[in-house]
Amino acid sequence: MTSFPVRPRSAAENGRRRVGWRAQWARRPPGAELWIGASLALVYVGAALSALVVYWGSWGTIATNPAWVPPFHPIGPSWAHPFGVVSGLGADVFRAVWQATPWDLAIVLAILAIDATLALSFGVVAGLSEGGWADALITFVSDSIGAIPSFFLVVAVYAGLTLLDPSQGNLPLFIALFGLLLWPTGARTVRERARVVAHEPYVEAARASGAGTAHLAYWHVLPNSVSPVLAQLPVDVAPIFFVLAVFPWFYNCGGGYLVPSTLGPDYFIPHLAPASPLPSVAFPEWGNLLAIGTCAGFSFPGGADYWWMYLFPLLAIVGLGLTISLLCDGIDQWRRLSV
Amino acid sequence: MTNRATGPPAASAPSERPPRSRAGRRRSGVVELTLRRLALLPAQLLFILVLLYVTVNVPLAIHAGHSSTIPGYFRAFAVFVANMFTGQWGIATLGPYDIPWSTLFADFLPNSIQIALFALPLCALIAYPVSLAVGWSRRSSADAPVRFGTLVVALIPSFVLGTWILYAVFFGFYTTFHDLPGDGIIPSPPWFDQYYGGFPSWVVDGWVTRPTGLPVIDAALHRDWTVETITIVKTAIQASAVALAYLAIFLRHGRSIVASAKQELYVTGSRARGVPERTLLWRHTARRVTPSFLLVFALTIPGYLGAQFVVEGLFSDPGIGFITLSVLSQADYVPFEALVFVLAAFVVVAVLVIDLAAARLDPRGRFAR
Repeated sequence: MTSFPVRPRSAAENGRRRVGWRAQWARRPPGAELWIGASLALVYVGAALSALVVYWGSWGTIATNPAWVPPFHPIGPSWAHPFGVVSGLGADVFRAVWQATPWDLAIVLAILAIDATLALSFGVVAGLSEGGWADALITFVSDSIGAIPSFFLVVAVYAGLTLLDPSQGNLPLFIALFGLLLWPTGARTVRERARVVAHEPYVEAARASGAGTAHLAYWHVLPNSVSPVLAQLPVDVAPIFFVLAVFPWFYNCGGGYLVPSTLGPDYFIPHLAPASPLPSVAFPEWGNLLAIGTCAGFSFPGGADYWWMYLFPLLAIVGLGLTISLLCDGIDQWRRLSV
Repeated sequence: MTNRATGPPAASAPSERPPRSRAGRRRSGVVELTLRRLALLPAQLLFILVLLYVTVNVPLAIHAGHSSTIPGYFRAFAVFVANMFTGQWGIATLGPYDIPWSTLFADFLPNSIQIALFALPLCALIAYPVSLAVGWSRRSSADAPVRFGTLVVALIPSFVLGTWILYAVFFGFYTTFHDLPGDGIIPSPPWFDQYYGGFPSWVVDGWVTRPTGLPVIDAALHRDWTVETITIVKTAIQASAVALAYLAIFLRHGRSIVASAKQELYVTGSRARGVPERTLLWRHTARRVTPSFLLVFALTIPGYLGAQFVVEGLFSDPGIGFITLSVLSQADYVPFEALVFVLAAFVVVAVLVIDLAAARLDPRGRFAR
């Protein structure tokens, strides 16, 4: 039997020159989507870095003013308060949203990084070993975890694990759990793509020339199975903010009777829900601000709509989701064109 | 390898020969798939229970200072599994209620079913034609707005969407029915209080209607047309909020399914033979994409449940979603383990049923190939 080399020859050994990103850029410049996405991302990163400098030393707490707490004298947008003031919490919305930018970027990017890494790794392994035990195991686990609404599972598991460290607000644990429980949807689509790629002629050729499974997975299947992850990442932003916003909202005003105010029915004072990942109710985070703004901004049955209290945190969330979507779509298109 | 003299060995064995007819092959494929999935069902439920036990019960025991041995944890796990399956989930600690959780779930379930009965047909009525029309469109200018529009709506948490819809329709509703919101935005018991000075005899404990439990049917059975109208209007508002939130999730998938179905060879062939575009879209492609739409629905059931739960919470409606959000907000452990278990079991079974229905509805005979 003929022995094959274990490692196939690299591009340089084959006498070919690997095309660098500069050459690719010159040949196919990125499209408008990538440019717009990158510009928006720069705005977000700039806002985050400047917030870190401006709020040096008080990163984790929003400055509140007790005089702004009652809901009866709502302060709308003005030169002094460009985004108005959110009553209940008693905070300037512009400053709160700005201060929250680094936290939210860190939370979302960390969760998406864990999510994308796991979805790609598990998806490629399952796709390459189609029909094998690894495929069966990964499909089984992803189907089982995927059967439970992600917001539900994350909160349940977080509430349980946080008992081991009862200090209020364990954001790193929350981020790790969210990333660990969000991958099944992405892994399923990557698996479908990897299955197809694994039977492409160039993969067969590499296998015939002696490439091992790890080499095939890393150099051939993985780079060609990235598209499903890039399509999934923007969709995965929504559940993150859903979880961060829905529980403070429900605890404070959804259930009605859960937190009765001692000051009167129209006096809204936000409280931190039990097992919340945030350390305090005045923590700068867009989901938290959106929840408090929605509770304070709508008054039933009086009919008051203090739109600025919830609109600006909402715009920050939607803007970040759109930025990630434009970046992912732009990168995907550029990759395809470059190939 | 095929041996010319003996033929392919697998096909020559009579017991392994596949059924000859197309229908027979299809049926055996479906049966095999169903059996495989049914065999996995208990394992999936057990996996979910193990996950819950390790991440919730064990930390709870450690937190309470109960040190146990490994066999002790295994025994406790066996008791936990038995309790989950037999409905022994403890006594409710939700607001004023003081009954077993299983009874409270059973009492609250009909309201959730009622909203789903309104919301799901509404979703299907909008999602099916819109996905077909948008996915079929040749204009690329229609593509980007739909892509980004659905993303924007999906990014807006459903309680904000629901509040907007409620706000938009609230005042007409309020003027018509003179409903006075009390402890929630529009809780159901105050309606009865408002009109009767108390609950009618067919409402038990302020939230369970008799005999069926579905307020829409019970009010009609008791010819109480005021409550019937209020219930229908309220449920329609809730259903539209759920539909708006869910459609944003569905349309992204629906559009791409139709766009890829449009590229298939039989579509090009039929078009070349002169079949009108309208027939190609609304007859051929509409039938072709139905199973794929059902599969997308199966995979997005958790997303749908999220939307409905929040809308129930927004209306303080006595439904499963309201209990879910309440117990999760209060970090109440035993009922939310039971809820996770029941919901996961429901989703796993629903996905299996939908998969089978999709296989049945596929005009191309998916399992025949």
